Amino acid sequence: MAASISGLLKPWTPRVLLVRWSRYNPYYLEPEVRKEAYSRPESELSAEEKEERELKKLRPIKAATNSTTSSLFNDPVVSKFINMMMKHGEKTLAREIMMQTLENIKRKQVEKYHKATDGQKEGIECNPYAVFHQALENCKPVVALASIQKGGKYYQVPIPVTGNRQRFLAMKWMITECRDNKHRRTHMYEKLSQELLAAFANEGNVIRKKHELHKMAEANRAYAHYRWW
Amino acid sequence: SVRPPVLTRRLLSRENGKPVLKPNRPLILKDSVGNRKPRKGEASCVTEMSLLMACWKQNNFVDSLCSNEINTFYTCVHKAERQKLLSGELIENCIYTQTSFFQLIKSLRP
Repeated sequence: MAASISGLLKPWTPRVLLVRWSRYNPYYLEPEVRKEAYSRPESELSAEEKEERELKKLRPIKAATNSTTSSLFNDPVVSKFINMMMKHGEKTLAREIMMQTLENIKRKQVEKYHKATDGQKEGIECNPYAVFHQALENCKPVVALASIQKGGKYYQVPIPVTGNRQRFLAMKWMITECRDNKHRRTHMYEKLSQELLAAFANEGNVIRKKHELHKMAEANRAYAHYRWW
Repeated sequence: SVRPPVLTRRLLSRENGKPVLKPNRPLILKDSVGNRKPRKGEASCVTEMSLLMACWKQNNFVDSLCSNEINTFYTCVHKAERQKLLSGELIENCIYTQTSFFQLIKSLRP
């Protein structure tokens, strides 16, 4: 059935060629940006990977966006966070704030490391990217509430939330909390590094917000059957 | 074309004074039933969610202590999503707009 549906997409090139557009025909494939994927020898590839390579020779590929690079430091999560922080299209400023945040996290963790005793030293994570990822993971909610109408009234129904929605909620809470609830004379990178380190240790306002959402979902668990998907 | 049945014809005729009925459509039965509302499904993964919430209640909403329940919940959710896409109902009911068609294609593409 899946084959019949994708069989409807025939080889098609538009009259106006798509370059760096955001809406592509699903016939276009994603670009492979990582260098390691191309440096693997022929022998190491499995049958399906060879098939994929053959397919990529024939199908059109989407243009890679300006912010994707094949460098070691390209991180899609970090890029998404920078884009969400950006205001009025000032990507340089947002990126600068992010880099300063990561540097700040590193400084604080290294200071902690040097002050710690030998037994505690292994437990301290100094890599700022690892701290960032773990902090975001700790902020992601597992269930969220949706407003569903039943019998004229609207109920808050707990629904499972996965993938992009989770990541978006975690990042949004982090950014809004740092913008609104901190002292106005601190820099954004300082506020962000404080909040990220707190989230890494499962404390702080963002984690509290996630727990409150979980508590509300738990309180409304009787309405879980109002979902129809 | 089909004529209406005898009793209906009496109600429509002008021979016996004014006609009783003045319909705007031909009063003739079709040979098929119209579209009913698609049957609403039921919530998926409710048991896993209730187990997870019981675990949360016990452990004061600390996520690290409930990791098993969280993992089972996620596997159930992903399976339910996949099943919902691969079953025929989306194809029958939802592909009326171009965007929903392309969304389905993208999700089915490996």
